[in-house]
Amino acid sequence: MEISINGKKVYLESGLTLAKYLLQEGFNPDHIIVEYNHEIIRKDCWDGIVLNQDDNLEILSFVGGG
Amino acid sequence: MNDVLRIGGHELSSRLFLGTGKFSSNKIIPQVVEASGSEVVTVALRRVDPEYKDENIASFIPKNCILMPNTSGARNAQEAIRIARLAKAAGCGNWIKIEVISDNRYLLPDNYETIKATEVLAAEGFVVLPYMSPDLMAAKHMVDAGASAVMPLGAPIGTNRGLKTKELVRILIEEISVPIIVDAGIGRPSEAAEAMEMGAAAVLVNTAVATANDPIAMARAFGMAVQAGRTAYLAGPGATKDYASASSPLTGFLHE
Amino acid sequence: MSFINALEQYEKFNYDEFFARLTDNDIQRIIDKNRLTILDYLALLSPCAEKHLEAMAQKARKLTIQHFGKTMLLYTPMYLANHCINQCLYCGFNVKNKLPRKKLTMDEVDSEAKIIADSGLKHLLILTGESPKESPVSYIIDSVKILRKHFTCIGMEVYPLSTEEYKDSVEAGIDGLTIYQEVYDRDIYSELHPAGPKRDYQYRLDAPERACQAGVRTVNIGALLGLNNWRTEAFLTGLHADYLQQKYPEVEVSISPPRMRPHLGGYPPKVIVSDKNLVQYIVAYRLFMPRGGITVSTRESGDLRNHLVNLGVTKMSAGVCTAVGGRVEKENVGQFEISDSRSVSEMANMLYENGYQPLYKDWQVL
Repeated sequence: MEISINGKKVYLESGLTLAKYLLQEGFNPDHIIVEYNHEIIRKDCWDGIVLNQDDNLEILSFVGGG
Repeated sequence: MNDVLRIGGHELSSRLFLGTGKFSSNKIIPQVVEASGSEVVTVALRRVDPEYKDENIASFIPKNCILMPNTSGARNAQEAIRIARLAKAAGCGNWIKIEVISDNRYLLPDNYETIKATEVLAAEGFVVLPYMSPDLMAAKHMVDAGASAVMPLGAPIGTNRGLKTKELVRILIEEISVPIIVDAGIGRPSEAAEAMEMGAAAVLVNTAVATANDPIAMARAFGMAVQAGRTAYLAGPGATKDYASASSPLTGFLHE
Repeated sequence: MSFINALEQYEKFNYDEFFARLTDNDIQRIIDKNRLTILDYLALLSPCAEKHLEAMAQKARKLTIQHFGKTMLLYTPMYLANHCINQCLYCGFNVKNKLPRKKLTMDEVDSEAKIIADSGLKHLLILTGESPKESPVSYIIDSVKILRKHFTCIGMEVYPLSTEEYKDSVEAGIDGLTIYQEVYDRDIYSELHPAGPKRDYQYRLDAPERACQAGVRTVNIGALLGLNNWRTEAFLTGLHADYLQQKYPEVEVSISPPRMRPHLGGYPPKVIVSDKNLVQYIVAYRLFMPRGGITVSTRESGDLRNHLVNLGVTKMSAGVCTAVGGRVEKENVGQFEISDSRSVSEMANMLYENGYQPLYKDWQVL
């Protein structure tokens, strides 16, 4: 299936949960904020979300700024 | 004397706020923050770069500091509000620096959109510090909208040109009831001291420190300048006399 | 939030102690500041500041010219009615005083207006006593509708109105409100107003704010000097003006420092406010409020007013008569005796001789 991650199209196997995807990509859960289909998803809810075709995922983190 | 800056329920003893952008390496940030004495440190929120997915700026900032995310990248109130909510969800407190910029040439803020974002976010319980072009009526609207402080620019972001807006900032200091924090444009410690002597509540510095040859030493210099300026402000500078009054041409009639 | 909250913060303030701590150095530093705090203003009203009066006057003159130019706005009062149900001890129109009571008919309003307009003035201040029966708001509004034909700016100095009534007045053509608290000290206030609606201290105190909310362009406030210690009354007037100017930046806030004058009823001033005291008040206020209007009426002598032109005053009355219809019928009894009886053209000549331009018309609604 194809989903959008940070504005880019990405192909993933179906049935993947959000938690599993982030783990397999090596994200540090303490460092990121995840917006799933324009809704902020708390860390403890990542496990309950199964990614679907055309989903929109934004993965954000803090960087230097003034 | 106990001179503290009260914002959003916090009592700050340092009046230097520090930005964390443009450093050659994040690894230097802990020493820079320590040298500056800052207790409020700004960060930005961005899409994760897959190359650096494990590096988080927050881990370089001393734990006793208040983290103040900005809404940089926002071009209107809606985008600023979205970024603020995301930042809060990340669990780094409820301070937010609203920064709305749709002008890519000078990077000047949009006061009108900033006021709108201030109103929404203050109502949601954020401690809102709007970055703005120094304008008295806009600042009053920001205060009415719930801003905890107002942050006028000294000169356009990143220009290091100093306190070009001095007369306008002075008016804000005189007229606005919340703390006035000079943000952007301060390039040298002497300019930070000048803002503080004038009665600014604090200054926010980033580029001037980050791009110095020795950022740690420059951070220390800014910390000392801000303290010196504040102390001078509290001490009340002496009179500079610009008239002589040997005779009494205007009030002499009272003694006739 | 009302001004009364700001006022209460100074209820227990120890003025004597504050004045006693001031040094010459403090006063000099304050004179040189660009922006004075409210306590800086109080310091300039202190006995200690009297020694620095000339320096204050020089700065006041400089600031006034900087912000107002070498101009003086001229206006004149017009008394519409002297019926009054109040018993203000210091006022000639006190209900207990025996004097012919009169109110102008609309025809008389028009004839008196013509006489004034012929002198060149475009600024008028209309006054009445407080009498819901004889001079209700509807009567004032009817008069304003006639006066608008002759004048571009009409201020009113009448009993305090509700916000709605101020809105109606503004709609009819009123653009300014003058209302004096008379005395900010609450105890003295109740002593001087033993009966009548004017006993309500706060309703009067909040009147300028209601007028601001109703959309007037100017408010002019003041304390009647002679009823209490002038230093504290001058201070609280400044506090009030500052409160209004902060909260209603779109309104032009000004003050008057009226001194008590001889009047029917003969209640003597409790305190004598000297010329020197008056000058100190005016120049201190100018340093505190560089852009604030200061109005001095013909209560003051021609000689003193000639000197005050240079000291921060921005608005003066001329060609004055404090009796109802007194410009048509010269023998009518006034509210108080005026001291400077010069006509508009005589005042204008004095101003020109001092290098000032008399202004008859400040602005006009388009």
